Amino acid sequence: MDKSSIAGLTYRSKEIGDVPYSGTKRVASDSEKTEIKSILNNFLASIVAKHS
Amino acid sequence: MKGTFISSDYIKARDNSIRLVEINTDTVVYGGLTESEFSWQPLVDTLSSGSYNSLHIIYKPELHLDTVTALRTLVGNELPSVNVTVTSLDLLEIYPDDIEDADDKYILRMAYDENAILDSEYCKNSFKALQLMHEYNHTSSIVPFYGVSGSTTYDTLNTASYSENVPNAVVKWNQGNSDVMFHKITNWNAAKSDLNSQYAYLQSFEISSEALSDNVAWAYRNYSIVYGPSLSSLDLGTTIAYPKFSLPSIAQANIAGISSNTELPVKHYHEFSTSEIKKQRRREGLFNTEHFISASGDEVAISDVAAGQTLKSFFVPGMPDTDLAATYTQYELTGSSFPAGSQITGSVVQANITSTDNDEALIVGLKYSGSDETYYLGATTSLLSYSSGSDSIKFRTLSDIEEDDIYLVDTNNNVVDIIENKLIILNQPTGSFTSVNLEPVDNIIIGNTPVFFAYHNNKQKCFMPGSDILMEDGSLKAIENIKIGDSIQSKDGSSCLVEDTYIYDVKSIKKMYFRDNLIVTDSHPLFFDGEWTTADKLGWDSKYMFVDKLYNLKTKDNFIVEGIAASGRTHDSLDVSVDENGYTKLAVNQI
Repeated sequence: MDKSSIAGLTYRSKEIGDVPYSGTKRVASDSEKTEIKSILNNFLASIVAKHS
Repeated sequence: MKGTFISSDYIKARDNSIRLVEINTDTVVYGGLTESEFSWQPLVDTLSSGSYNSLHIIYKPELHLDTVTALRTLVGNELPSVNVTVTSLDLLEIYPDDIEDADDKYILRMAYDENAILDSEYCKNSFKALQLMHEYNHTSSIVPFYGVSGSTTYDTLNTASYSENVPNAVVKWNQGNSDVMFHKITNWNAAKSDLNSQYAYLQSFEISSEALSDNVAWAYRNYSIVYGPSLSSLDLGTTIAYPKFSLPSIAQANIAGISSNTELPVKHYHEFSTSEIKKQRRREGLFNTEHFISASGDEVAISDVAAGQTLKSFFVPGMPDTDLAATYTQYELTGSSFPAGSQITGSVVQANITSTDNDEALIVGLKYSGSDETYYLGATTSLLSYSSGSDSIKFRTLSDIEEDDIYLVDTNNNVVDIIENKLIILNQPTGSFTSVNLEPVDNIIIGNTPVFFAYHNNKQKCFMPGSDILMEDGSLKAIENIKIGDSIQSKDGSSCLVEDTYIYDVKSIKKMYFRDNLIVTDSHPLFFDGEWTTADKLGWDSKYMFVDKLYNLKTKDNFIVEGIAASGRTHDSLDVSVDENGYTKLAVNQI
């Protein structure tokens, strides 16, 4: 395969490290973090309930 | 105290609720996270407030080295009296040795453990995690899903489609590292009946209005340590993870316009998944566009490489000559210069080339300062490179090289800027990645001196015919006679099934290692004197000999060959084919 053929094969390309989102990178809010912790703790409690 | 390091993934659904997607062990903390997104400080605070004198970390250098280094530095700075020890494991190890607990010891396990329910039940199989949450009335906290387990059918799917250019369903395998497949479903009943529910289940593809507005399918990732008999959690942070690419445009894919059940092409994977490139796939080596370099500097086409040829390679005194990533990923040279005695040399090709199909349609284009040429490689190729941040030369996986402070080092020890490290998605899976087995050094050279790329070159790991395998009933059977489904014994005395057999048509001169009746290649992981190691590291007798065929087995864990435990996990997730003689052959780079 010739290197020049890569262009014809390419769908999308970018440099690793480019965040595809062009705006400010989002950060999880405190309420979102709290909700996630709650879901995780419910999951872990369900394991304990099922296996104890 | 024993704690397990996990991550958990969540999406914001179309109704703006946050929902659990899956739980992960063997999880990686990628660079660039702020203190509020991930921090080891809560663990250090726990160690400080408790009566802990030691911290033992069970980890996999290929996944965790940078994170563990950061943790050790933090503990060293804040709690110098705490003794930190580690157990480092190979990437595919699933049974880490049990470490004895003590009141003053904190054992942090970052590596997957098949014996742990959290890992083997709920991390390996996200379907079971969703079932569990559904059974305990947390359905509104999990991604909608459909699947069948025994006589029970679970169906909480949201079957509405989006008007935007995104899929509406995800098919996931029930276990293992298999990637997901994205679908546009228009006939849900047909999709459910067509689903092989023994091996797969369906999730709704959920995306929030915020993510659609951002034009990128971001998701949440939480890092925690789960500890104690009540499975308490220690929160280490939550980040928002982004896919490699934004959502496709209508011109790139008219998903919204699809009118029948359709699995989307693999090229869309990194538009809808926040998964990083999986190292377990081992996409290592040269893409079809590249050439090897002969000892005299001429280009050698991949198809022309054969055992006995001499190729250009790079010798670094003191570099471990091993395929154990747990060893070579930890090899590090301080500064930006190779040690005295480092040199371009020639190494004899020990076996014919091995190739890995580019199933993910993914290649990496690499270009350095001063050259117009782009070199195309597999994304998990380990590249010898310099980091100005850590002021060190080491092997770094191409897909991990995101920082601006990574450079090449030329033969005159000049630091050379990498000006392009471009992830490229092809329209469809095309080509393969190729490597060869060189002796005595591992580092293959491509490109022209004084600037070069040297990448770690993995080798074959197999046994000669006649090697006896210990069967479940205590009998012995030559490895070439083992069949898929045979029941064999592993090192702990338990039995397991042979999942696959491999025959390599070598037909070349190869260096083999001997111990009693065992004849093995240099780098097949063997359990000897209480640790995983290899024949070359053990210093066993060796000689060059003509090898017609080599054999290997894939098992759940390990198998006993000539009385010694050998890893059976070395070919996990790789592709095999049947040759014209009816033999199963590995069609990929052996790991």
